Amino acid sequence: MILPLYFFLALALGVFFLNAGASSGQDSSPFYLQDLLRRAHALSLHEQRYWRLLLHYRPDWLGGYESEIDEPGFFLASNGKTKPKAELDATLTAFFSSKLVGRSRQPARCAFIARYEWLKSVLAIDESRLPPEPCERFRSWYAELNPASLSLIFPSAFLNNPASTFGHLLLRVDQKGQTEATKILAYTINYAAELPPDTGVEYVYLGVFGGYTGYFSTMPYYLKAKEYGDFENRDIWEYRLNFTPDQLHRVLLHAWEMGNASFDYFFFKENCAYHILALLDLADPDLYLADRFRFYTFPSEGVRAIAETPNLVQDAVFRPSRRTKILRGREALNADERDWLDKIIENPQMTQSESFARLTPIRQAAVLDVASDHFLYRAATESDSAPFEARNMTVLLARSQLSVAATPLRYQPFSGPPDQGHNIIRAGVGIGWREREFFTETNFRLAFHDLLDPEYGYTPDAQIEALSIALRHYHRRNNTRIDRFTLLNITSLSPVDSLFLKPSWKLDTGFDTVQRKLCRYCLTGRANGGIGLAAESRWLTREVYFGFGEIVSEYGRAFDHGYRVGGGLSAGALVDITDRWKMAATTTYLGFAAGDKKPEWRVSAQQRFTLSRNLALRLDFNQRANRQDYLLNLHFYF
Amino acid sequence: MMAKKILWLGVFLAPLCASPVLAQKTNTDTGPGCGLGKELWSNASNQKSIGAQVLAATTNGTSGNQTFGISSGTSGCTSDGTILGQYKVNVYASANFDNLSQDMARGNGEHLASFAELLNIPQENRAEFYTIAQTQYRGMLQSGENTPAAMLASLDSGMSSHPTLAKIVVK
Repeated sequence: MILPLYFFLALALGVFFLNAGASSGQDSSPFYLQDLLRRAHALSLHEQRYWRLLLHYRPDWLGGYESEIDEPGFFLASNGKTKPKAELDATLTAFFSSKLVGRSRQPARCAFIARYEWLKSVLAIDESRLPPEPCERFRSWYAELNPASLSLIFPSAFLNNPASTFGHLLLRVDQKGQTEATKILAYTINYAAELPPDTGVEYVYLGVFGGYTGYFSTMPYYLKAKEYGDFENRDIWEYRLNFTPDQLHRVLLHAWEMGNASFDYFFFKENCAYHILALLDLADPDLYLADRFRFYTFPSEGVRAIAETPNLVQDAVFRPSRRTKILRGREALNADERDWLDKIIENPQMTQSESFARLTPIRQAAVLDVASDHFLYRAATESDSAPFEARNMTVLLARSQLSVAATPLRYQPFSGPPDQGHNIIRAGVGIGWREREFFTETNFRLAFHDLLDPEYGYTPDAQIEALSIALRHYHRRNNTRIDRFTLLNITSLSPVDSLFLKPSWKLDTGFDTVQRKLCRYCLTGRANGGIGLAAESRWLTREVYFGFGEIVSEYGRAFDHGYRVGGGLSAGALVDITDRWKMAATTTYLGFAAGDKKPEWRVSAQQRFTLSRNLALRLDFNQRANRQDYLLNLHFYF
Repeated sequence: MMAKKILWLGVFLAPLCASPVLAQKTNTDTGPGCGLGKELWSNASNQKSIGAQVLAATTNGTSGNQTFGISSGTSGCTSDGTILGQYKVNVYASANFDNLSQDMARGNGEHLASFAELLNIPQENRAEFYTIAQTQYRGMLQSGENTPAAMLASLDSGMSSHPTLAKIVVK
């Protein structure tokens, strides 16, 4: 009995050593795999932060982990979405097979190349003991990107396009040998939800609650720059990032893996900004970029998270939209040249007139360049682009006869870079006086920016407030109550002039406290919309005037019949007295056609003084139906 | 009224990550022949009016994710999300037709410089290339044509008489 046992052991050992000595040992794989698994377990690799980042694991409510990736094919273990260890084991096992896996249909080593490279380095995997995989698709993709560095791209918010209310975030893979003039040839890494054609109003619900699926893609920057800058007229900020070559390499390895992933798209949190930050975390697990966002991720907050990371940002470069080019280009013309611009826009044949030819070629070029941008702007924004394209041809024909370059312009932005804007959440404490009664107030706003908040870093003349609440305590009666609540309050002012003629508009829904005959403090619901015009001047610093036609409906027991529906007119102005001090005044007259028909005058005047980026003082005066209310507030942004 | 309110709410909610406004049509007559190019933007009506914007933001399907999806295999113009070599010039000229037209008329600019890079025009010939581009563009407009294909053809013929640039084929 003993002999066969020895014999068996010797045989087993012999096989083991034989195979261990073989250089490309398919046969040794079970042993080598066991060895790798044992070492991976000994090191508890599945508990390491980098493994969690690679698989996008987040702690769940029960103390375990769940991946944010919603595509089953991303996981090599059937329970990989919730079991980091099982996924690690399955991943190591899959490296010994050439089977095609994932949505991208590649061998595991290529499809999940970031996992492979990380495990290879921490376990010192001997590649020669795995089946050879050249990963040619990855290699040619990488060569095509030709990466030298990364830039974070932030197309700014622009309210007049619903698809850009808060801005967007994407990456640009800057190429070796790239110059400022050729950066549009670089590829981008972009995360977006895919919307099926013919989506209706269910979009809102599905967008918020994860009903759509988001994917990563790599469009050339010239397409994205065109989409944002030319079609949506959004200025772009480009932040050049300082990653080491190794960090850059790790981001791109993982970006390639993302080709196998899809995510349920959640408008407020798991959106573009969140996933771009999560991707950048792969560069350096100590960055903790995505972890800072628990409930929602605004793109501008993402920019701030990156800008606040020491030494990560090299510089911020401004890329003007078509609209900014036109405005700044026209500013650089003198009065006579501006007249020519107006004439040419009116009738492009004026480019052929002898008196226009009397301008120097370089000034003719400056006028024609703005005129051409104007026609392209109109072609992109009006329903019938053909007439503007034809006029642009006439202008360009004249331009092609001038062999000069116009004086180069440095396009100045109309606002500061987004990382220098105030933070998103606002809280305030204040004191006030209402109808011979003293009160203290605390208020809170979840997002985002109103017309009086410090404007630097935000799109001018654009207000969007969501979910704000104000509580007041009236001391004499020792009574605390909700004074007002805003669900959503948007105002978009578009100052008009000879080149830009766009309506301004606003929308406001929420609750207010009103005082009527029988009811001293009545909470009433409101829904208010308006459309109007705005204009601007530059007497002091900058002033914007606006007028709106309004429709309003209000509900509450303060009113006869419990409601009123009507409309009216409002007019007002916003005045920047200094960079820090801003005033706003509005007066409104409303008549009501249904419900409680008593008309109402409203007057409001507000001032803001900026103390620091995230601290401002606000003084408000409000009068409604002859009842007045004064409020002094200190606002904190965090 | 209700539907309208929801639409307005859509205005608010559409925003964070606008999906690219791309439409892929099957008509490729004037495009680069791989289903992209000019068609890429033909449906980009997103800026026309607020109503149309809402519509665009709520109804646009995105072919961008499929065409440019990372490691998505080969489809039309792209392979694993990057543009195939033989289509690069054509896709670029078609997608940037308006900006490239401006730059050619001016004889300089970002889109013309990038185009020269894409065509591998030697650095020492760039200035000549820009001059040829301006001359040829003028000639094309004077002949009443204005399409990406005509632009490329006229540029190609303009370069054909140049000792170095003649070797570079624009198509």
